[in-house]
This record gives sequence, C-alpha cells and structure tokens, in this order.
Amino acid sequence: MSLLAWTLLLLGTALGLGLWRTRGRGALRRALLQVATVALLYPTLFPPSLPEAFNPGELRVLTPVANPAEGSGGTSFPRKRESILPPSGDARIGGLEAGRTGQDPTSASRAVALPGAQAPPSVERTPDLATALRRHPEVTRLAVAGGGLPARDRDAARGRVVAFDAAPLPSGVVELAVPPSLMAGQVWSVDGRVEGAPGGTVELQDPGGTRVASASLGEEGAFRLSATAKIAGPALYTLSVMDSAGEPVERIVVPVAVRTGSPLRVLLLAGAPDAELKYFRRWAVDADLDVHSRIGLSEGVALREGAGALDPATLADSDVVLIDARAWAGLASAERDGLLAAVRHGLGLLLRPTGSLPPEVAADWARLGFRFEPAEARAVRLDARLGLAASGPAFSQQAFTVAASDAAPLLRADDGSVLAWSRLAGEGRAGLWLLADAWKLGLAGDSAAYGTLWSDTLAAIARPRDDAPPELRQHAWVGERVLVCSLKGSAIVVDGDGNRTPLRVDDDGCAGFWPWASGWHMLESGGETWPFHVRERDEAVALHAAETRRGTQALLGTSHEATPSASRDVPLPRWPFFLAFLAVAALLWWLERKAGGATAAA
Amino acid sequence: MSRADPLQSVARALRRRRTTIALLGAAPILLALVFAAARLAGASAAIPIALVGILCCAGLAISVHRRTDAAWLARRLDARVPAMEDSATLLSADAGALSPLQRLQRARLAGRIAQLDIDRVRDPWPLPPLLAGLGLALAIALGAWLHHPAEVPGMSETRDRPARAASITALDRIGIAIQPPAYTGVAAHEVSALDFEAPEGSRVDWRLRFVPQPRAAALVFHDGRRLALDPDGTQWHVGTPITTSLLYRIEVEGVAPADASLHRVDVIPDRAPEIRVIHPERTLSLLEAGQKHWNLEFEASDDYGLAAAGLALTLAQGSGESVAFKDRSIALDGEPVDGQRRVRYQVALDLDELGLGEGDDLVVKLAVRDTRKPEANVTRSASFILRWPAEASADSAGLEGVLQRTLPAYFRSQRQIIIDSEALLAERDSQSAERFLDRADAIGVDQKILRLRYGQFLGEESEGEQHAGGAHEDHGDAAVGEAPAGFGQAGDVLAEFGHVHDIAEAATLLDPETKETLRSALGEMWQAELHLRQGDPDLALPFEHRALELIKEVQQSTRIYLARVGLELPQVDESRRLSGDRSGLSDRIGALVRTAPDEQGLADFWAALASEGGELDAVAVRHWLDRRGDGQPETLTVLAAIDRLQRDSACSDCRAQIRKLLWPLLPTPATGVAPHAVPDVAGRSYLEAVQATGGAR
Repeated sequence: MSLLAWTLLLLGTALGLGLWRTRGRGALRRALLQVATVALLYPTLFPPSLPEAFNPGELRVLTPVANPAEGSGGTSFPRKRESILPPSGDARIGGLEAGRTGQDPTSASRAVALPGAQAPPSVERTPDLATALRRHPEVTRLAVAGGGLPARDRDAARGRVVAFDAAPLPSGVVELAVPPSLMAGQVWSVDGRVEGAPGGTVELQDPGGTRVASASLGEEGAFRLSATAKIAGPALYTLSVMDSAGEPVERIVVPVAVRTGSPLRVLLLAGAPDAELKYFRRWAVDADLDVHSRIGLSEGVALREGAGALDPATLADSDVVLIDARAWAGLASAERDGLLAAVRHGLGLLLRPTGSLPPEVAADWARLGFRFEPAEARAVRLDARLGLAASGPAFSQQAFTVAASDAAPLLRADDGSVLAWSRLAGEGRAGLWLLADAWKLGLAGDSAAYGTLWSDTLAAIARPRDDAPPELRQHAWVGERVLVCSLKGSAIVVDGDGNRTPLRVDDDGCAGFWPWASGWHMLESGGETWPFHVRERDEAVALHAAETRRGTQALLGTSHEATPSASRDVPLPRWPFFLAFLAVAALLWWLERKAGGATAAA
Repeated sequence: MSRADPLQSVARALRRRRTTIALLGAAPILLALVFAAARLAGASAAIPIALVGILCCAGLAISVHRRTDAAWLARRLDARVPAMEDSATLLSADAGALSPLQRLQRARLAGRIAQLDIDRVRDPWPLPPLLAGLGLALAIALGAWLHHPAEVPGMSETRDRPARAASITALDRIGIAIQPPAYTGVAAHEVSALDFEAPEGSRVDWRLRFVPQPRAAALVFHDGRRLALDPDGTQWHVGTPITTSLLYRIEVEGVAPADASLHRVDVIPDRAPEIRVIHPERTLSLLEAGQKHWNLEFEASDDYGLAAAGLALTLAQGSGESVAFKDRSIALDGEPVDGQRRVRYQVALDLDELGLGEGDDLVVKLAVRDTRKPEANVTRSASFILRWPAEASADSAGLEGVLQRTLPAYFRSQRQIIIDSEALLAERDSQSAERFLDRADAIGVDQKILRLRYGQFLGEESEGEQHAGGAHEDHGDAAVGEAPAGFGQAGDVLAEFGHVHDIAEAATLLDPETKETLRSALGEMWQAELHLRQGDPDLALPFEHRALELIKEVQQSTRIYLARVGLELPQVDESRRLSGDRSGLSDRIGALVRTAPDEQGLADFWAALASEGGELDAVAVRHWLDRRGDGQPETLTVLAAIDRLQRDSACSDCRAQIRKLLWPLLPTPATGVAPHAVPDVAGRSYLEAVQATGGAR
C-alpha cells in the first residue's frame, strides 16, 4: 500500500474511533471539530498544489559566488529561501531571486546550478552551461544569479542572458587598470577601485619593496597611484590595501611589462634656441631618438644637428617634425608644400607657437585646422597628469586660445583646459603645442615626467608604425583562458619553467591560451617577446569576482521575446494548514477536557 | 597444549641465550671495524663496512636461531637432564604416531619438564671469549685512533669534519691575521672567520689548512683577481693589502671544496676629519668698531688621528665687477684635546697686517688633514667671512649685517626683562601698590623698546631709534626716562601699542620663515608689554618666555652667505663689434652625445630574472655594477646573490632576492617612445570615409 493510502487509513480509523467515543453534552460540536482536525492534518502532510504559469524557454542559472575568506574555491550564499522552488529541506538557496529581475515575477522557470554554486539538492547540477543548454534545447533565455558566469560559459550564454542578479562583491581591489604597454622611464599610473574599505588607504610598492605611492580611499574606493618605470623588462609591483583602521585588506601584485621605445627620427626646426629645445634635445638623444635639428641663431646662421634639410627624401624618412612659428615663417613656400605633402603621407607635425604669431603663419596653421585668437597667457598645472602629487611647478600656456573643433585633445591641464591637440591630416597627424614651459620639469630634475610628457605627445603624433603589439587580456588567472588578439603569424607562449606552447591562431589573428602555472609568461610572436603575468587561482579574488561580474553584465540584453506557454503545479506551503490544525486541535482538547470534567462531576 | 608450553618456553629461552651470545661476540668487533674505517678512510668507507657488518650479524643470529631446532633441543635435554631418560625426542613428536607406551613415557616427561631448572640446559655466558672479543675490538679502535695524525690546538671544532667526508676538501683551520696600517694605531689581530672586517689599507694574511691536502689553492675575488695560496708545511697562506670591500671564495685544486660559497671582507673606511667651528658662530661677521683682531676657533676630530691643518685666507677687495682677490694660507698648530684624534685650533688674525680696508671681505677656510696614507683625507670647513661694511652702503647686505650683529644684544635683553619681572614678583608683598606699578611700567617700557628694535627688521616704524645699541646695558634709567615722553602723546597710541607691519622693501630682506617667527615674537612682546604696563607682571611672564623662545629660534635659523666672486666674461673682439661684418660666420654643428650608458645587457639580465629557466648572462650586470662603484656594500650584496644563483640555478628564492636587491640600483632611463600603430583594415576604411566626407564638406 502506498504512503497516501496508509495515511488515509490511519486518519480514518482515528476519526472513527474518536467519533465513536464522543458522547455526552456537545457531542455533535466536538465530532464536527474532530472532522475538521483530520481535514486540516491531511493538507499539512500533503499540501495541495496550484497550477502556475511556467516559461519553458527560460532557464535560471545559479553561479558560484566568490568569498575571499575561503579562497577562490569557497562559496557562500547568505540569501533567503525562495518559495517558488519545489519544497526542499532547509538548504539555503543562492540567488534565486533572479526571476524577479526578469519581466514577470510570477513566471517560474527551470533552474540549473553550475559547479561551485551552492543550491538546494533539488536543483539540477550541470558541469557547464553548454551541457545545460544541450539538456534543455528549448531554452532561449537565461536568468543568471550569483557571482556571474565563468569565462568558459560566456560564449554559450551569448545572446541569451536576459537577467543577471549579481551577488555583492567581496572586499578588495575590484578594478585595476595598468597601461598595457609601458616605456622604460615612463611615469605611469595604476587606476583602480577598492570595494569594502571606505576611508582606507592603498599603497604601491616597487619590486624592491619600497613604497612609491600611496593614496587614501574615498567613499567610492577609487584610487590612482603613479610610479616611474625603470629599465625594460617585466616588473612586479605590489598594491596593498588597508582599511580605515590600518588593517591589511588585500595585497595583490601589479604586473607591468616595460618595453624600450622605438628609435624615431625627429626633425626639429626652430627660429631661435630656447630652454624647451635644450631639454627636449637632451631627452630625445638620451631616449635613443634620431634627432636632426636646425635652430636659427642669426640670419643664415643656425645650430645644426644631423640633416636639417626639408627635402622630400628626408621628410619621408622622418617620423615627426617639430616646428615653431619663426621657423615656419622662414620656410620657403616649396618647403612648406613639401612638408604638408609629407604630413598627408603619414609624417607627424607638431606646431609650437612661441611669442606672437605672424598673420601669414596664423593663416597657414588655420588651414591645418587650428584657428588662433590672442589671449592672456595663463598659469596651468599638470600635477595630476604627471603624477606629481601637487608638487610640480606651475606651467604657463602660450598667449593664445585655439579653436580646433575637429582636433582631439592631446594634453589636458589639471583644470581640464586643453594644452595640445592633434588632428588627422591625410595619413599623418598635425599637432599643436601650447604649453610654453615644459622645460621647468627638466630644470627641476624631474626628467621622467618631462620625458613622459614628450613621449606621450610624440607617440600620438609621429608616423604610425606597422608593429601593433598583440592585445592581451589585462588580468589572467591560472586555468582561465587568456585571449590574445592582433597576432601576426605564428605565436608561442613560454612559461616560467621554459615550457613552450604553440598557439593556434585563427583567421582574425586571435588565439587562446590556458595557463597552468602562475608567474610571468612570454608571448613570442613576429620575432618579439611580450611578457604577461598569470595570477594564482586564489590571488586577487575580488578582482576575479568583479571581472566575472563585468563579463556577465556585458552579456546582458539581447534575447528573443518569449511568452509563458506552459504551466506546472507548485505545492502550497504547509505552515498555514499546520497552524489551523493546531488551533482546531487545541480547541477540541479544551472542549473534551471540559466535557470530561463535567462527566466526572456528574 | 599443556605439554607443549613448557617445552616451547625452554626452547625459546635457549634460543634467546644462544643468539644473544653470538651477537655479543660479534657486535664490538663490528663497531670497532666501523670506527676504524671512519677514522682512517672516512664515511665513504665506514658506511659500507657498517652495512656489511650488520648484515653479517643478522645472518649469524638467524643461523644460530635456526640451528636451535627441536632435534637439537631433544639432544641437549637428553645430554643435560638425566630425568629425560633419553626420551626427549618424544616431546616434540606427533602424538598420533606414538605407541601407547611412548605416549605414557611422553606424559611422564611432560610432567618433569615443567619442573625443569632452565639453567641446567641453557648455555652459560661464555665470559672469556666475550671478553676476548671486546678486547680485540678495543685494540682495533685504539689502533685506528693512534694511527690518526696528532691533533693541533685550536682545531677541535673542525676535527670531525674530515672524518665524515674525504670526498671534499674541508677547511681544517682558519687563521686570518689582520695588520692595520701603522698610522691607525689599531693593533694587529687575528680572526678565525672567513667573513671579517678590516680597516682600510690593512694587510690581511690568510693562513688556512685543508683536509685532505690539495695540490694547489687560491683565493678568487669577485672582480676576477686571483691570489694563489702558498703551501707552508701543512698550511697555506697568502697576504694582500685590502683597500676596498671584497667578496672572495677559496678554490682548491683536486678534491672539491666543502665550502664554495662567497665570503665577504668589509673594509672599515678611514673617514675624513670633521670640523666644528666654535668661533665665529656665523658665516658672516661684520667688523666691530675698533676691532683689530679676528679670533677664530675650530675643533677637528678624526677616527684615527689628525695631521697638519691650514687656514686659507682670501681678501676680496673692491666692489661690483672689479673685485680683486688676495690669497694666502697659514699653517695652524693645534692643541690636542683627546690625543691626536681631537684637536682644537685657535688663531687671532691681525687685520691690519692682512690689509683689510673698508668695504673689504676677509674669507677664511680651515683645511684639516688626517694621517691616512698614502693619501690623506682632507676636510675643508665652510667659508667664514669678515666684512667691513662700506660706508654709504644701504644695500641689503648691510641691513642683514646689522641684524646679525645686533640680535645677540636683544636676546640678552629679553632674558633680562624676564629676570626683572620675576624679581619684581618676588618683592611684590614688600612693596606699595604704587611703587609696584611704577616698576612694572618701567619693565614694560624696556619691553616696548625691545619690540620696536625687532620691529625694524619687519619694516615696522622705528620709534625709539635713540635707544639703539648699548643703551640696553643701563636700560633701567634710560627707559624710565623715555617712557613718559611717548606715553603722554595721544597721537602716538598706534605707535605705542599697535603693529604697523610690512614696509615692503625692508620686509623682503628676511626669508619668510624667519619673518614669521619674528612676527610672532613681536606679538608676544606686545602682549607682555600690555600686561607689564597694567601692573600685572605675572600675566606678562608667559608672553615674555614665549618671546624669548621665538627670538632664540630666529637666531638659530642658519643662513648662508657667499663669498664675493668676480665676473669673467669672454673677451669681446672690439675690432668687429657693431661693424656688421658677418664674414666667417657659419652654422654651428652640434653633436649631442647620449649621456645615458647602454643598458641593454642589464635589461636582458633583468628580463631573464623573471622566468625560472631564464639563462642569466651576468657579465653585463657585473660590468655595470663595477662601473657603478666598486666595493659598495649594496653592490657586493647583489654580486653575492648573483653568485649564489649561478652556482645553484634551481634556486628560485635567489632570483626573487636579486630582483629585490637590484631594483633600487637600476637606473631610470630616458623615457622611450612607442608611436601609435597603423590602423587596421577597418580603421583605415573608416579614416578614409572621414577624410572623404570632410573633403566634401
């Protein structure tokens, strides 16, 4: 006999016995109550079900949530139990509110749990999302809950995610941005955001263990720290986060790959020597640039270095030409046309107005896209731009305002005003430099900041090079795919132990690599080596959680509309029936006791 | 079962005794053999012998154990125990195969064997043979012991090393004699560690003994220098003077050395002398009226001893572009304070003899040498200037000079005001209120005069000019006499109690910090004066004290004065000047040279450090470190770490350590440039489209 039949038999017998023994005054009332007790006990044991609208095309995906206290493997779900799932013991259910962020809170759907996600036993387990989608071919919409989809599942989920109910991020560094390619000697900044440590501090330590920068965190937790790169090669900086009480929150490495610069050929034309030229030439020669210059001293007399001629061959060999207004005014018209033609073929041109601008020069430069208006010279500061922490010198802007509507800002002062522009001119770029006294940096001995300022400027202006670096994902973890793009030809990854892994490069120039060891890896492609760093699985947990979350959020938003087209039975909760049963049974007990007392007294 | 038990226990006891006897006989001899082998041939011989011996002993024990079987036991029982009636074989026989009679006999024997005295059948301890074996063992050990070369005093701590290993050359004795240079006065001493410190210029003698004797040995230094050790009997020695800190390693020819790591010699440098100037207290002094001599007093100290000292005198005459200099020098004799390590020099310069005139500067500079050889360290003091101010000089230098000269006088006065105030407070009870108020007011007047004098340096109104200079020594009368004059004039209230700040050109003569301190001091004085004049010296005292502290600060703020120098302009070709003649002018060809050294080797090394398997080419980095400065402690530390890694390339901690140590030493090169990349196909077509629409517009 089944459980149901046994239960019914027991209940019936008990009711029968009860009714048979019920005598005396108020017997009818008590008999009715006995019937009611049984009638309530049954639904407590076997709660009735109600049909519910059900969307077979939607699948709820429960994903693991990172918890830094337990390392990367640990997961925990401080979430409330949700009633729309099949009844199931006391297991805590993680992130099942996902359905609510979908379009219809009453619509229910199937749920699957990815490995590592904590979910009630009744929820279907799946090794990965693609398997789940194979098992449920009718699914077209995914509602993700928890930490987010791991990288391996994102391709399967692409175009199907309609909702993402993200779990809160763990404390630690959740955003970290380092320039992808650093030049030797460059002043660079690491930007980031720390979750869960408002009022704390962050510190950047160099590979020698010395603190090079620190900042306090605001409410948002955002920070920016600057450091100076040394010689070419990989270097591991360390970022330490302390909370407001000074207790360490997290320590993660900040890997930077420093490269040497290209030996650009620079042509410098100036009407008169000035301080800027002195420091610029010193920097350029030390930075291995091929400097050619012609700096006028007097009529027909110049200070020359290398070939200062403006013939087409020289211009075709040069990467960038720096010219001031006096030198421009002194150019023959053939030279001017040749220069402009060279710019259209890729040469970079940087215009430096110094002093007042002769009208014909202003007219020429207006044809290049920069219209000048005289204005007062202004004091500007570049502390934030150069990472000088409010200790840099005050600079001045040349006494012009420039209207350059279609030019891109190249250098901004701390107050947001633009000090340099660059503008497309054919295949080349023409720039304008309004900062009058960058040399103050060199004079003050801050050659790294000075070099960085000019390096960034020349990098944006100079003739483009046909050796684009491969694009690498900024953060890589052991066991997660590293996507490399913009590869030309074959590529090999060499890990720290010297194991060589050839990559399969697809037609788009992209390749995937799954690192199994942490530390520095070298990507060898096209005769060059590009280092990248792989973190341990349990390193930078908060950052990994945030990356997962961002990756999942990026998947949101595209789906076909699907309406609920099925229904299913959802059992009602037991507790209302149980409470009613208890109340009726208590009343019955009281009446029986009273009747018993009356009988005894009689 | 009851029958078997007594028999088994007898058998067990017999077996145990026989095995023990066999092992007792063999073990001492084995131990002695092993000891002798270790003693004579080292661990490499002793270990196999010990293993073989242990195997032999085990075999012996097992064979004895095996031979003591049931048949042997029966024979032994029959032989030793008459009660067994030559039937002991029955006890171990299978009961089922026995005849009834045999069974009966067996039962009788079983009963007897239970009461058997075990010592009747057991082997007795064979003492003479055992003792003989022990004696033999001792003889072997003693022989081995005596065969070993005799011990030398002082080598006990390293004695057991060669016994353990003959496959490596161990250092048996280390004696390093350090003979510091004679001038240092440091006694020669000997150290017994390979890492040591020695004074600069010491002669260091290594005396080493190796076990076993190598064919040749040498000290190899981190810079590649090699010193062969000379054999001298059982010892090897070499000596060399040490001038810089060094890393070295001992190399032996033949058996590999036990200790191949780098050792470090740190040189204690001979520091240059230190000079303390006692008088003058300031770098700029102004000639006092009637001053005939300039007294100078210096004290110099050195770590080992001082030699000659000299005073360089420069007389700068003239002004503007026509300054002429006269140089001379005077040798100084000092009086020793603490042997020759600390010497005090005193000299009084006769200004007339030197020819100091009005508007001239006399600049002196002390130079002290120490006893270092071959080259002495020389320390020169800062320049001290004695200035005779020009008559009508109203320039800044003159005013600064006034400040310098007059401040000490006021400093004493502020202290005097405090002393006066305290004295007044002490006598308060014994005085009438009116008298008390009068005296307090008098001190207040002093305070006012002082305040006005300091106020001058801030550009304040210089009321009370007539009290300048020496008026303070007799301030009591003078100040009281002056006070009513200022007091009765209503129009002077501001000048009396107010601050009139900042006459601009006067105020800028002081640096901002000094000015601020002085201003605070004036504020405190003003408050003190207020309370004094109201007859509340007790309220004024804290302000007076604070003013004194601030004035002290002003006096201690050091300032640097520079000696005057002449102007040296290139000669102008007067014949072509302003003639417009441009002949012979041509472009100047600049040749900027890269100043930054090539760091490619260093960069390669740094990059190779990042990966565990990276091949390290340390040559470049060694060169670079050498260039950077030989013998610097941090350089040597890096070199030692690199050496450790080169000897053990699997050491990953070494790489991390080198990275950490090397990073602070790495240069920051000039920032390189990486131009933007050529746009890809999509980017290019986009650009073309933009240009096309731009052109159309």
